[in-house]
Amino acid sequence: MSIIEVNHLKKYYRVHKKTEGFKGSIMSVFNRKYYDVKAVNDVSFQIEEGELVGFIGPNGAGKTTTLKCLSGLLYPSEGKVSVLGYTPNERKHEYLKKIALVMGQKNQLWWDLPAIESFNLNKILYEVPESHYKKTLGELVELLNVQDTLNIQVRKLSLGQRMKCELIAALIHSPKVLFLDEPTIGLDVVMQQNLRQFIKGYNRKYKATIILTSHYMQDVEELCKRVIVINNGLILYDGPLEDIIKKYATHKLVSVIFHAHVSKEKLAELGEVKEYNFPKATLSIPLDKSNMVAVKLLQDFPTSDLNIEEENINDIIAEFFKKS
Amino acid sequence: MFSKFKQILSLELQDLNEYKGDLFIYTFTPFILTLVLMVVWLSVLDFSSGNNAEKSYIVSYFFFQLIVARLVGAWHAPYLGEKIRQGDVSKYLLKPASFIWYDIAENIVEKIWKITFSLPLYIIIGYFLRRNLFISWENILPFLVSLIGAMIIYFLIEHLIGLSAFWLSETGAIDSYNEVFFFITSGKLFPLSYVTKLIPLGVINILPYKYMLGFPLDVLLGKTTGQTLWSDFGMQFVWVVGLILLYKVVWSKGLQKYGGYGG
Ligand SMILES: Nc1ncnc2c1ncn2[C@@H]1O[C@H](COP(=O)(O)OP(=O)(O)OP(=O)(O)O)[C@@H](O)[C@H]1O
Ligand SMILES: [Mg+2]
Repeated sequence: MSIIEVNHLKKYYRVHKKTEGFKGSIMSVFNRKYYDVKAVNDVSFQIEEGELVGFIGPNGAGKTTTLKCLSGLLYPSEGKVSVLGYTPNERKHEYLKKIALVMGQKNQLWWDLPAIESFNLNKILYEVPESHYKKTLGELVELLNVQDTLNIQVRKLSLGQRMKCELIAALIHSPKVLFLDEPTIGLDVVMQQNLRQFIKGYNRKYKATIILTSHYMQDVEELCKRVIVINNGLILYDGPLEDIIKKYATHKLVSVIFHAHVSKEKLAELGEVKEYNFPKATLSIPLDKSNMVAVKLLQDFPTSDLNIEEENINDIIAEFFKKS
Repeated sequence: MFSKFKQILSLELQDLNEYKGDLFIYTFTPFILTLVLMVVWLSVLDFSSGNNAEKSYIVSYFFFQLIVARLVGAWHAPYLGEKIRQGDVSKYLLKPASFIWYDIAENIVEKIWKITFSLPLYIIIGYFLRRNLFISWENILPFLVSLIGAMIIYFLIEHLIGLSAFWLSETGAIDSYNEVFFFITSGKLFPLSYVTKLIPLGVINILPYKYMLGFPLDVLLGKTTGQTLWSDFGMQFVWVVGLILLYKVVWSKGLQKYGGYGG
């Protein structure tokens, strides 16, 4: 049996139709109309122990809703969810002690108190032995470099500082299964890298099973072999990230540096000019023509340097969303 | 279990220290109403003819009401409602401890805080009224039991009103109905023995509000004794058990409705 099993999960939110204006709101008092938002609409997947899976999709796709069902916050409307053999929405304490949900967009720390107080609370609630707590906390604090922020009220922390503390709070009890909903949101580039490094390490060290959502494709590219793509509550793809890239990377980026001026029109004959700021130009060239164009650039143009790169992963994913 | 609750208590206490200013205001407002009521009743009933026992009863009733009302009070419904609406319940739901314990801890901590800071005022007012103050010492034990019952009922009603936010977008309406009923039938505005002409005693005895304030007060002052004491205890117990059961049902139904907003 897999660590996480989701079978035909559906989650519909019942919302009432808001009618505009004064008359509308009077009418709706007497005649409330409801409709269902199909946030998750028949989703199935399995995840094995120690996997680190990327869960991606555009805004409103149903990612957060799925993670909330997995962590027991929401009751599924239909279908079956099982994590570590438990039914999440029963919220058995035994189960809650083995998982954690980190939401980049939602604060889980005590807002008016220093983060260390939230950690101490978790130590007691999750029944973490003192020695283990000290060791874990020490490690986490050092890894994330937050020695100076632990004793400052959470509301006074910057977004990145708070995010790091959120992560520590979620990991004090060394969860076996970790749901990370946009953990890198709002972090600077260096911090994003640190956090990625950290997530990778946690996954390896504890054989923890992790589901990660992010709108930063670098996160997914660096961390996840397997991705699940969801849109409109339906799974579009489940498999290796490389396969999407192979399938949807239709272009290569050729960047050149010229030592003499070249007209933009002339460049445009070769392919789509993404950027041209003399002496640097970037062209997007269909895969099968990229070699030919490179040769041409080297032979017929005043080229002093040339580079062929993979297409930006964000563009590939955007292409994929568009096509499906 | 107890160490978990202790930790939650300590957290709530620290959190409370952040709101000292607001709390200070809330601590002293109730004095005004209750003391005004005492004066009003004293003048309405006109004790110039010299019915001293009755006069002492009125004075003691409102003086001890100041303390008892504080001990039994709960006021977290709007905050709880807001937590549900904003999806802030999620952080508690993810932790291996029942959600209600946080509100219980907060309630206890706030009561202790308010009582402590009101103490000088109790002493001063008590000193001025000392000639008319009495309690029934043989009823102390039943009083303490009825007080605990009152605390539980008050807390659970407030909690249930907060939980209504799972279904309603406003807890304010229910809250204000609750307040009106409380005012009229709890013994807040007048000792309940005075109002049987206005509201049938049967109604007062059946509603929960009497068991939240008037009942413990009349036990303390020796008004409720013998047969009535037992039947009132019975009814208070019925409300405690009934509300606990209702809470369990409402909480589990509410969770099924919970949208976990945000994030
Ligand atoms: N509590 C709620 N009540 C009603 N509708 C909701 C609720 N939460 C989410 N939705 C709707 O359900 C759909 C899926 O939302 P969800 O938050 O799961 O998306 P997401 O994939 O996490 O998006 P994002 O990338 O923007 O975070 C959206 O259309 C959203 O409007
Ligand atoms: Mg989301």
